[in-house]
Amino acid sequence: MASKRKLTVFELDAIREMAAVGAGHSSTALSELAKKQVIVSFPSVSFYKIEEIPSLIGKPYELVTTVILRIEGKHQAKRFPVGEMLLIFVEKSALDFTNLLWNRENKKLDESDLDALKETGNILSGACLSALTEYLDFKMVESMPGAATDMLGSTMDSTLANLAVKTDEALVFMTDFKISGHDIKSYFLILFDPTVLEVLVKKIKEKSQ
Amino acid sequence: MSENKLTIGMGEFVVSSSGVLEAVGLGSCVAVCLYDKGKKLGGIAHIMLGKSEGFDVNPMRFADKAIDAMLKELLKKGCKQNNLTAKIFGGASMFSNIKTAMEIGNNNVNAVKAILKKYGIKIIAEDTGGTHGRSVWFDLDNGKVVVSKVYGPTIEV
Repeated sequence: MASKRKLTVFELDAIREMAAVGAGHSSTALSELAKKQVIVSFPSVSFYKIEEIPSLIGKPYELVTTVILRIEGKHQAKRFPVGEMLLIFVEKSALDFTNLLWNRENKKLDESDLDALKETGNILSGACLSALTEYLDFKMVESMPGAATDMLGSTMDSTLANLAVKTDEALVFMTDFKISGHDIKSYFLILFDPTVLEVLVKKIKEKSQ
Repeated sequence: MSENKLTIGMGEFVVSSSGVLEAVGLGSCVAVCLYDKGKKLGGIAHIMLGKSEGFDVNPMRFADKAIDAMLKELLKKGCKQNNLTAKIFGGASMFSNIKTAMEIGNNNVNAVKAILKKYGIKIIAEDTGGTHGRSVWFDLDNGKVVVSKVYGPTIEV
């Protein structure tokens, strides 16, 4: 069964390397958008129990603004799931970020701010996926993004439920972005669908030969 | 409220006779609280999904398996099935423009109701659906549940 698939150290390293390039592209896109320097952490790539994934970010009751996107692969006429992308702004980071984008001092997020955050999610995932496409030789498309400000757990559970029917553990790619000179921090995650791991490993092996 | 608090995470259930059971940051997930007033025994299941049929993963993620297991545990501890009542919370659609996210919350609530109906357990309080997250604290001394949201007032049912 797909959920029982474990990767070797070599395979995980190769995926981490690919993910680091993707994260680099995303942080560049974020930097251009905010017109500020972005500090990006070295990405981690590991398996986690679905139920444990929110604790990588914080406590389930912490206030966040989360943007979600679904990623699908496209090969010839076939579409297949690649994973779930999450962009999570902690505490007031979403508000500080939109204020920075529009050079203003609003006190709370409104609908147009949420739209801007969705668009940011689109841009970051687009940049990341275009880098991954180089490695994987298949095109990827993103779904329409959704955004919500609420408790961490409640903004993540429907996304986790999508994967929870398929696997006990998911491969999680995670990095975080900080905007230089501002107290703005966001986490960028891709939760890989278990059915795509086989393809990922095969493509990476082909490239390394 | 009692100081003795126990957090029940996604895909878990707990049965106890004292203290407070909490389920925090529910979005599409549902917290199912069962209580026997006479015995002062109860439990919470924090479910993520509806029906388990055809899926080979942690069964406690699913409404049917988790409620089944929690009920067995309560009966083992001396509860009578027809003395049990239920309170259910969660099942929100956090992302109103995302169809799959919307369906998960609704499906969870519907699955929970179907299973409780099958066992003849009456739902005496409910705060489900909507577009916002919830946290619940279930006091086993009196069966009361406090429900808090980031948006809107805290209620006790």
